[in-house]
Amino acid sequence: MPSDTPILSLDNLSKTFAVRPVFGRASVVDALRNVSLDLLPGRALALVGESGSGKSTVGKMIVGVHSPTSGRILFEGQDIAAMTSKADQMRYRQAVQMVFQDPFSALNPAHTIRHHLLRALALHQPETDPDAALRSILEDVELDPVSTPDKFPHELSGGQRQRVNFARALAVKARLIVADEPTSMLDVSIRKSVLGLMQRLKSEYGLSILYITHDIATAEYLAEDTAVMFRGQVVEKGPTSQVVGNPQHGYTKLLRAAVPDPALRLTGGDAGFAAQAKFVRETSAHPVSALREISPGHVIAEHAVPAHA
Amino acid sequence: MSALLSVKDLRIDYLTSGEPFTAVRDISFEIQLNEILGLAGESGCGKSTVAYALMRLHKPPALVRNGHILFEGRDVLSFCDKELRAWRWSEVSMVFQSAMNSLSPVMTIFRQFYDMLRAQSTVTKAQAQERTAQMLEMVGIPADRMHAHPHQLSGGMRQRVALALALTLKPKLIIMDEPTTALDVVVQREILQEVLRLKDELGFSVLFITHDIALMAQISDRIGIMREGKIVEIGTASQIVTAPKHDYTRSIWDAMPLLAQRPEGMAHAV
Ligand SMILES: Nc1ncnc2c1ncn2[C@@H]1O[C@H](COP(=O)(O)OP(=O)(O)OP(=O)(O)O)[C@@H](O)[C@H]1O
Ligand SMILES: Nc1ncnc2c1ncn2[C@@H]1O[C@H](COP(=O)(O)OP(=O)(O)OP(=O)(O)O)[C@@H](O)[C@H]1O
Ligand SMILES: [Mg+2]
Ligand SMILES: [Mg+2]
Repeated sequence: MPSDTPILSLDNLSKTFAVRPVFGRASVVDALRNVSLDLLPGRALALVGESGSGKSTVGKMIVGVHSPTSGRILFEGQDIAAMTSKADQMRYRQAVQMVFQDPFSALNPAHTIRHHLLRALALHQPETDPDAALRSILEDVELDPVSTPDKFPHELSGGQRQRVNFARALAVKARLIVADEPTSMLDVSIRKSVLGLMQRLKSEYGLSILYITHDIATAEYLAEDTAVMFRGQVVEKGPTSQVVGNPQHGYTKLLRAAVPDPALRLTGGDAGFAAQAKFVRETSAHPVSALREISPGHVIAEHAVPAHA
Repeated sequence: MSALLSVKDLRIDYLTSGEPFTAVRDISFEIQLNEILGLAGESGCGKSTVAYALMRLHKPPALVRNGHILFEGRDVLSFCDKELRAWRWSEVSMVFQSAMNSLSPVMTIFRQFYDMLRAQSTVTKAQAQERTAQMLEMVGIPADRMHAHPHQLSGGMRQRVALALALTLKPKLIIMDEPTTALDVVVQREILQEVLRLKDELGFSVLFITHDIALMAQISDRIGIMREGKIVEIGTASQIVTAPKHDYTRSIWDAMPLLAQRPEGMAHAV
């Protein structure tokens, strides 16, 4: 299989949530609007964008927590909604794993690390020698294979717990990992080691990674490609070097300029930042009318009302 | 000038099955009126433990072994339950490191504002709705979302609700423990600027805990650097940034990830 065949494609995906208050009328939230993205084997795609723009919703739809309102999710070309056989569905659930922001939430506090990993191994690799497999997986994620198995989650630091979550994805032989802000609760040194781990999973195991993050510097380090979301739409995507290094959409430019600069003091009177942000938001919220390619693979959205009018 | 908050020789142990673990080792610091004090340090150095103790929210196995916490000269550690209830949230509030610790999963957002407002003074439901709408809009969330439950909001929206709740009763001190980890940098900057604007208007102090030291340098008046339960260095933001005295402070700066290139073509707004 040539490596530029996507392992997963999102094809015009939309998602609408209805919020029903006890009293009053229901309101709807257009969480995703016609999102199309491709994930390639052995590569990472960073998904960045405004808080509430739909990034986690993309991740949750991929792992099946939510189903699309319209559009398709294609796994190696096959529509996952059309997978009828149990075997196909199992294969998909195993291939695609999610790692969450909060390293505490995904582990059961009552069970040891051994229990968590052996369970995953037994379900998905029943033929292998469990103890040898456990040892090798812990080594892969750089956890001590002797002392770690008998520990409970609360006896590990945040970074170690996040490694266990990645180890679990390895145990089920995942091929795509959806990592939703996996390092934002971790401090700089631990963050670096988790990023290094993801880098290795990609280059040594050929895993694909959808890396949802607010941290553009880490996207630059890990991801070959970056997509930027705003209000449920993809407004810019392409090679990270282009999207981050030479942003072209108004929202991406704003995002890039707001990265904290220690030399710049924030004040209450902001000399125009809020006004500029408001302007960019208004113009970027309109429906995307076309995608324009400005260099090979680097596309930006044009909005129904021009963003730079 | 007398300090709003004064912490003296505070020591906090966690009583574990073996030897007690001393997470905070005799630290002392002050927060002045209208001051933003930043607190930085690597994971596990004791920042949240300090924050909980300042609010008197520490619970077993955490135990304050030694020291004093004075708020406007009053001894916080000796407050009775009634004094605590009157003081907490209305005079000092907190944004927790995990937004879900600030919010109840079973109540709508409006309900959580309503309960907080009602506990302080008599308000009608209509007045509470108006205030909730105002606070949500301040953090960039459409007012009609007040009828949602926390799980119907994104991670960053929940964090913004927690921040809005902490500001609602106009306290004198707000403890912010990693208040913007779930936000994109644009919203983060807008909200922090809004906090600064409110501070100019109302006057309050902030203890700002974060692992993002670039952000900390942008917002703090003074910065304390913590390591293994001790404050190893404390000084003005510009001194900590440009002339750190302690090796550990220097090593924090060296470890800071930087973007490959700073953006061109878009001037910084300030
Ligand atoms: N279960 C739900 N019911 C109703 N609305 C929802 C639900 N889940 C998400 N939403 C809404 O969908 C929108 C997108 O949310 P999502 O969590 O995908 O954002 P995000 O980009 O991950 O944001 P953040 O960076 O803050 O985590 C938000 O407006 C959110 O309130
Ligand atoms: N309930 C507990 N029982 C035992 N030890 C604890 C408990 N809570 C925290 N600790 C320990 O106390 C120390 C300080 O923890 P604290 O949560 O204050 O760190 P922090 O500086 O806030 O770290 P982070 O940046 O990761 O949030 C850590 O070594 C931690 O392992
Ligand atoms: Mg999210
Ligand atoms: Mg903490």
